[in-house]
Amino acid sequence: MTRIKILLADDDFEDRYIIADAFTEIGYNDAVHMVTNGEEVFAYLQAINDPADLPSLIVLDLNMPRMTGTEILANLKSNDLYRSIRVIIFSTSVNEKEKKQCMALGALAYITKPVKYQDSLVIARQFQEYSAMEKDNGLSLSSDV
Amino acid sequence: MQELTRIALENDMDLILAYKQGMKLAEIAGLSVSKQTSFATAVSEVCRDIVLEPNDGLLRLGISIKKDKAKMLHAIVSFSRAKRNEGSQYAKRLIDNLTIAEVGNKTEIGLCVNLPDSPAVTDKIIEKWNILLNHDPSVTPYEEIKRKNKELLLLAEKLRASELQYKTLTDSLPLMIFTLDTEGNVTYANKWMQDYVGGPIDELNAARWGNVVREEDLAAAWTEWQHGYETGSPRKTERRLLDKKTGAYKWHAGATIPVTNEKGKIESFNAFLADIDAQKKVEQALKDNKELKEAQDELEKKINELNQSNQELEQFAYVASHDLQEPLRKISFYSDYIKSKYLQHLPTEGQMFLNNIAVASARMKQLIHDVLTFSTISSNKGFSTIDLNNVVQEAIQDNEITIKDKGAQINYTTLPKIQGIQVHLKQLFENLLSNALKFTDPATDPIIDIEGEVAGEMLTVKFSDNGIGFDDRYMDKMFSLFQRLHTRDKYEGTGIGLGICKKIVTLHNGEISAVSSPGNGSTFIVRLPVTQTIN
Repeated sequence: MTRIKILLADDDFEDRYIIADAFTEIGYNDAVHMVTNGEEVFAYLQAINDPADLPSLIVLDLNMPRMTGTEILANLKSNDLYRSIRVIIFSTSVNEKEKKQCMALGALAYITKPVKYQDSLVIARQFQEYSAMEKDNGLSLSSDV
Repeated sequence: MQELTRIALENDMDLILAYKQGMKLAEIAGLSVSKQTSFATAVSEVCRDIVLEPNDGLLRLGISIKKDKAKMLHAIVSFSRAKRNEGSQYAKRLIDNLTIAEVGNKTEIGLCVNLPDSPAVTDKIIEKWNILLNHDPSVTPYEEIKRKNKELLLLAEKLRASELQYKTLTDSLPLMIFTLDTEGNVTYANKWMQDYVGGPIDELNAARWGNVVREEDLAAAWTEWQHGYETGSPRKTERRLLDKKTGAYKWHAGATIPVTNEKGKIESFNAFLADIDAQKKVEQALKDNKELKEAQDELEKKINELNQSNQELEQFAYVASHDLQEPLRKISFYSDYIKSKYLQHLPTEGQMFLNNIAVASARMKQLIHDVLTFSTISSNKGFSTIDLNNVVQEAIQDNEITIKDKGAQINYTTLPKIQGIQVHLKQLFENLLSNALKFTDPATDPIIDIEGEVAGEMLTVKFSDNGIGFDDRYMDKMFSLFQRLHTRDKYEGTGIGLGICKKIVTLHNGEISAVSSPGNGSTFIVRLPVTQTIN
């Protein structure tokens, strides 16, 4: 079984389907685990015993019921166990205020959801690249992806 | 001396009276008959000297008391003039003790007789003696008349004193005290009232108070008075009255109380009016203060409502940026997905419809974007100093692709720095430039001039183009939301762009207008203050 590299949280079934389709297209779907809300994010992470098995990238939708992407991000970054996991915000539109807030909380990037089929493939490949990077790579990635 | 009785000495009859009263007092005091006669004769002889000419002579009879015992009888005769003193000479022979003294401008002759028995006297005994001397049945009609006359004089004196006291009292009070007859005429007014109305009471009555009461109050005042008269009940009133000294109307409060006769019929009214102007002014000030407070509360409520509505607008902006775009993005994505993967499986018509979906989605996206832009124009961001040259360059950069595509030439002069909101001014210049680039004549190379000029406190920026122009009677419509002058198949647009421009200019306390005619290009004129007073 392939090790899970990416944990993606989105309450929207269609968006999960679209990005899953893109991951399949680039042959990386096995490395991706999807959940639908913040509680499931933490349930998934807490079930992992060996820190080496933690995902290297967490992708968060912003508008989710009960716990927003921003709140999940803040919780992750304030937890010693999960602080080093890279987080990308994956949202419908760019809201400058939200974007600033997420970057300040320690998000690696703020990526807008695809409007075109080709965009979805590009984004899936970006996620793949981020997840494959060395964990302790302190490089700050450009947020303008 | 304790006076027991007195007699005014006017004529011979009074001499008889003086003799008689002298006798009676001596008798009561317990003197022997011979001594009684000597005393009474001496008294009447002294008095005889006085009554011979018109005089103000007065005889007083009394006793002196020591340790509750009567020690002496006294008769004192006072007068201004006396023609002779034969009576006194004679009296000296009858009585041991006769003194003559000058008191003020009068002469007083005193006659004294010792009372060897020294009878005990108490208040009760003095009262009894008084009655014996003053109220003993009159013996002669003269005596009776004289007595009655004396009583009457005393009463009149008392009445005068009481009247004087009343007048002094009413005149000294700082309020109007007056009486009215049943016709409403003032029959008495105290000094305060006379001074206040500043004229004789006759004048007040002749004018029926019209010279003191405000014209608009006068009819109501008399109606009220009439009502009070008819019901016969005391009436309270508040009225503005003219102060003759200052010429100002002062608030007075008062009451009118009917005075009835024994049959219950109203004969007159007692009334007063007191100055309550200061109190009224305080009341009014308090009321004004209350009204001011209410207005302030109302204003605060309105501000809260406005803030509420602003918050709702911001919420709408958020909804527009997320929830409205969400399904739209899916429509775009799916149509693009189909186009990318299955285009070859679709018939020509299907391909065309798929393309239409994409175009409609793109337009919807633009529309949402523009509405969002419009709704987020607010002064919340605050004014700062902006270099408009940078703003123009950014606007040109943002329209670079179109400028290249259309081969447009953009000329601009140096612009000043003004106070404004960066993001909104950028939007304004971008919109006006893209507008000029949009409505171009396909047959002519587009030339766009941006010129700025400062006159006083106002900057005027003109955006002129050589495009298709428009009939400028549609100008007002053009700056309203969703108003378009052209069909969409010719010129793309949401009809919000100029509405956004207008809102931004208004927010900066400026004006926007346009001059154009079809085929002759257009000039959009923006006037903006160089400095903003409100931040």
